[in-house]
Amino acid sequence: MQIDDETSLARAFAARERSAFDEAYRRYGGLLYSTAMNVLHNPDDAQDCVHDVLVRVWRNPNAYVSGRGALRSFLVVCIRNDAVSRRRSANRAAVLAHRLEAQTQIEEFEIEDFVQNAKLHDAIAQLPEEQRKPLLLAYFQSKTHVEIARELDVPLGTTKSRLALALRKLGAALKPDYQA
Amino acid sequence: MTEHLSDLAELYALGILDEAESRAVQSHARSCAACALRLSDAEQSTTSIAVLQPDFDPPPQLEARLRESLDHSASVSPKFRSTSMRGWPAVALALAAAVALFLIPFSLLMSQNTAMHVALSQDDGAFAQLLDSGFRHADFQPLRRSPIQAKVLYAPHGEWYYVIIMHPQPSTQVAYVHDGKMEMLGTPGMRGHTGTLFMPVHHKMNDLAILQSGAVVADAHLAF
Repeated sequence: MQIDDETSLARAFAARERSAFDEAYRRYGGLLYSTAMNVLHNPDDAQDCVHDVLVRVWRNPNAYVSGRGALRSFLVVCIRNDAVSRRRSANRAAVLAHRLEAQTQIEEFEIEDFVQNAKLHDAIAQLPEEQRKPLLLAYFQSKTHVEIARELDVPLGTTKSRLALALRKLGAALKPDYQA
Repeated sequence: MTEHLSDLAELYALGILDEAESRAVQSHARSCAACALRLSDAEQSTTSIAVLQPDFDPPPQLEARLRESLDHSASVSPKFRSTSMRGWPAVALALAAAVALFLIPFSLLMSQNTAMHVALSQDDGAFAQLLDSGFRHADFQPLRRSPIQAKVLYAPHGEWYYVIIMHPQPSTQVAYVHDGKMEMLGTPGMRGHTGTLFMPVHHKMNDLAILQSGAVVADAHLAF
């Protein structure tokens, strides 16, 4: 079966046509694996993450349904969330194994510490500091909203609002690149 | 979840919600077109960051693993395919099986085994709590490739916790994780291949860990 456009692919994937899975992996496999690698920094863990998530999504007929939105973004976020969860577990295990106190004081950091891409760097730099810091901690350090609120000494509700706003702004700023 | 997602859509797309919250977001988006649209927008924003991060080539064996897994699942009859059982009916079935398999045979030996008597008393308390009130449950996630399989049932406000572990070792312990520290809670009582630990602690514990020989092998995040 020939699946030419994203909409047809998404529809065929939702209908659980096996050829759609193969085509989705052909198109998005590199991005999905890179997404996992950029969180986990370990090829074996990244491979396990992508494998487990894709199999889980495919075996659950309710995971991706028609009308749910863009298939590529859906899969990217599924992979990233699973990778973040694995990273947090590993971090927690490391802390526990060494019986170390959790780090409670945040060190000063710059965007360059997390981002190499110039466009992404510039887009993040445009965000106000109160939105930029929690976004960097959430996206690039896999911190939870509770941890971010504590580290930045900001109320939890405010932290959530700022994170949501930061992502919306960043998405709007990067939209032309995303669609390219 | 009956209200619209609001900021939860972006928080989900950033990966900072816990497992239960994420499931609730996904579930709501399947039945609400407006929230599905907002969630999709948020996912595209996250993807816009992901595409600008460094690229890595997936290893060739990943595609082979995927094909093997999908072919295997397709060849298994749906009648016998393992499924994820969630909610009260599944837990009730599991508990009924536990009673049938373990409690009845072991009750014959109870008078000869003090340790078992104590453990059964704990189970009795746990079952009474389960019957009397609603509860939540969370799976322990193995760290790395640890084969451990375990689950915790717990009261919605943290009054009690009941941990079930398959094939625990003599050194297996359950711990409460908080503020970067670990507080040992106890050792599961053995039931053949299963270990259980009932803990009426009366406070909320968001993170639990299972240790074997002093090393953490699995953890669970509990949502309240």
